[in-house]
Amino acid sequence: MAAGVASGRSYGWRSVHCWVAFAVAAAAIGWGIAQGARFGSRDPDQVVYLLTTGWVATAAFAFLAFYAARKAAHRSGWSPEFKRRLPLAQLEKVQSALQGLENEARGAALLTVKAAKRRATLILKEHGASRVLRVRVDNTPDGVRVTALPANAIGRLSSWLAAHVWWGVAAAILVFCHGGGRTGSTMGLWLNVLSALVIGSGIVGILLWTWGPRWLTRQERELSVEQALAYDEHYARRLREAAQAWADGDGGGGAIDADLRRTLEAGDLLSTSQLTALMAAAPAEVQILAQQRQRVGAEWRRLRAARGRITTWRIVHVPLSIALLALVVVHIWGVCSY
Amino acid sequence: MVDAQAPPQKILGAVLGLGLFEGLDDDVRDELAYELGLSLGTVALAADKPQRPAYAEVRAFEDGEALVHQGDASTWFCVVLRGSVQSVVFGGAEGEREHRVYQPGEWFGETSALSHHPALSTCRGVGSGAVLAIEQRLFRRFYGDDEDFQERIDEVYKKDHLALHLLAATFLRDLDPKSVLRVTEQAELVRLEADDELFDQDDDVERFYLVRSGALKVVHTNDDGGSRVLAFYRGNSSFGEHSLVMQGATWPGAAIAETEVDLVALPIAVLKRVAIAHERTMTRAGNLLLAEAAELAGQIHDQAPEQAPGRDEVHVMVDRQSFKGGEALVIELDKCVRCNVCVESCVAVHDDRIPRISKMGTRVAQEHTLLTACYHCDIPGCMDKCGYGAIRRTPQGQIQFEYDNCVGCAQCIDGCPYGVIRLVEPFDPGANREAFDRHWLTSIPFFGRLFGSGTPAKGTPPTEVTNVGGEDKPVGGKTIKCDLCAGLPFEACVYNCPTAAIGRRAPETLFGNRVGTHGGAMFGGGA
Repeated sequence: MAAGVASGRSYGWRSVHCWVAFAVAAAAIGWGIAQGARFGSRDPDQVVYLLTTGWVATAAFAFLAFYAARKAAHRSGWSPEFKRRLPLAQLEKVQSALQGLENEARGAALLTVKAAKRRATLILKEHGASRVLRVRVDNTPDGVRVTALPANAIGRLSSWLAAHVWWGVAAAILVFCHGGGRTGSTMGLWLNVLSALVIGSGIVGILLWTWGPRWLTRQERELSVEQALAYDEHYARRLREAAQAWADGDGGGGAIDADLRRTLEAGDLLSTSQLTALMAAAPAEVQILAQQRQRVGAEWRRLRAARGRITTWRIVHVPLSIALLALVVVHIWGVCSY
Repeated sequence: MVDAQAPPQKILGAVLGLGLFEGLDDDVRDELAYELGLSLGTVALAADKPQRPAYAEVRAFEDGEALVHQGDASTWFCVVLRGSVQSVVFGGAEGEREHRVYQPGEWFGETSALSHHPALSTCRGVGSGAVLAIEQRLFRRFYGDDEDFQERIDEVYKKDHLALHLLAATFLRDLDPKSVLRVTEQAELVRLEADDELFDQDDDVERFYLVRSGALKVVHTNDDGGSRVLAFYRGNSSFGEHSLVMQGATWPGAAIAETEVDLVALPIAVLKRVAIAHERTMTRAGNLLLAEAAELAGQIHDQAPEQAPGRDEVHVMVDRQSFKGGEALVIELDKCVRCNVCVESCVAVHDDRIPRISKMGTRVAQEHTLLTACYHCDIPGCMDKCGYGAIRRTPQGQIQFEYDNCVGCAQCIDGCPYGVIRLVEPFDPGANREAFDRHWLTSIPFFGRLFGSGTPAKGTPPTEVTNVGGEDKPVGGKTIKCDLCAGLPFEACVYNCPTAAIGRRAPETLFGNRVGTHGGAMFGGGA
């Protein structure tokens, strides 16, 4: 978080969620302290506090899950926003009308920014584009500028990530306010353990995603991650084809045994002995391809491992989050039932 | 005069009888007749072929109706057939003024059609009437092939439209229209073939130039024989302003045409007399040019390695990226976690499940990657190459591919300097039922409609199409490129990046203070 704060990233202190989440958490702490700081106590006079912090923590967890839902919705193409596509002809009419407005604003009409924005919004409504586009009106030295931008109705994912990060931190505080860290029961134990793991892995994730990209960029020497993958596949295919052509031609059949053939088909890197055998017998073209393949393949694997270091935390965070949500539901059901 | 409702033959006869088209080559007249016939219905493409738009059509207008707005990325050349069209210019000291009124037989839009410049004025109908609209590809063919046509267009351009075109140049924007008109009387239209030299290094600056179409480069040769490209100038760029504020100014390099180039040349002496009377113009020119001169001096004379443009910058900006480009899709590597959600989102938006962007791109220094994604260029090489009406431009200048009209000839791929266009197999929904069948979510009662209707986006494309001139070509595939998710309420890759690492930027902004706000002029943006 510190790095996020320092860099002013989307999930840094500039996010409104940072302030709201901390206000909620601070309120919970303040209220708890006012009640004698008996966090997690089940005394009769603590019930309201217990339930309130519990429900707010649950709401925070549900809100955290929305980030995952939002991401999945767009990756899979089943967000309702996909239904809002405007035909191109209609889009062009809107663009032209907004251009006309901009001209008017710079001409005799001399519209203020506010008036121009009102007119622009009306244009969007008239053309049925208000769910697809929004307008930004700026005052520039050349006059008013009207720009049509995508509506971004449910918000950019980076904003959702900011909400996810800060409400996650707030959730950690609320969980403590609610449970006091008590592990007297099995449910309490598992809730606390899972919460700690989820929130802890999340914090690790924030740190990795803040510093990791710069570190990963420095790991990329001649090839980027994407280039290394593309070239790895390319040279694997070319080597396979060249080796096959050689094996099918004269003199190559004996040098390519079943093991080497399997390795080539699978696109794996050759072992030292396999490479030695190939270099000893293969024609120049196959040798050169084999060497290039080894170099590029090794580089791809190195970069893949480096990338894995900044993404592996999700293997802990995501499944445990699902487990925690399920356990919270069970916990709520248990509290309501008993 | 001709009515848009008149019988097609009468319209055709009236159009071909216009002064602009009289006496032209038969090929040109036949081509115009064919395209007009397509739009009027006297010529038809076969029923099983995509009904591509005609490149010439008659458009009716009503009183006050805007045919084109000033600033629109228009690509149509219009000839008034009936009624009148008023041309109004917005901006400047007056705010809004009438430029002129076009009567039947007169025309407008040739500057946009030739140089891809946004419309110079708003043209709206006075009373009802009709215009003949010719799409820029057809117009440029006529302009290039027929000398008589070219001469007539140039004559009117010089008399009526050059003044507007000059006002679009940053340098001359503050001049009053009367002064600009005086200047244009001395203008000369210059045409160069590829590799022709316009002027040599160290020649005295005697003329100011405005590029109408084409491109040329300015090359500086060092004492040791090495050379460096200082700038590219393309359509709507201007150069030579520095001589207005510098005594005895000379050209820092030789200007060589990269393609066929059409230029407007204005004597500097005339420009000086007019500009001196306008203090604001001189101040703006002076500030602009002093900054450029300092930068240029540093590049040529000091040659300090850390100050001269790096190899990457020249390669990216001049050779690869900024030559003709618009805004680039850029990834900030210090934020990118390589999650690939941008590419996956692009896949989700398109029915054929092929991404329109590639993260391979071009690495700019250590911090940024310019993605392989359409720049929506100011001067689209792809559109200039397409002969099937498959590439068009929105008023905001976005380049859109008409999927159904594409025959896969791949000429656009040749025309694109950035390699952002791909040729893929035509999308056949019948062969990919899983891709568009109703998602199980759409089957949920009541709520299912929130997730789409599950209808396929496109039908099976036909296998042949007729191009201009009637020649049949087989469909070899379909070209695709980034379409900015046109029509959707988001730009998928930008919208779904969790760390806001990806976004659109002008390429020159990637190089910080070295280029700064004056880089546009240095690297080809005088207008």
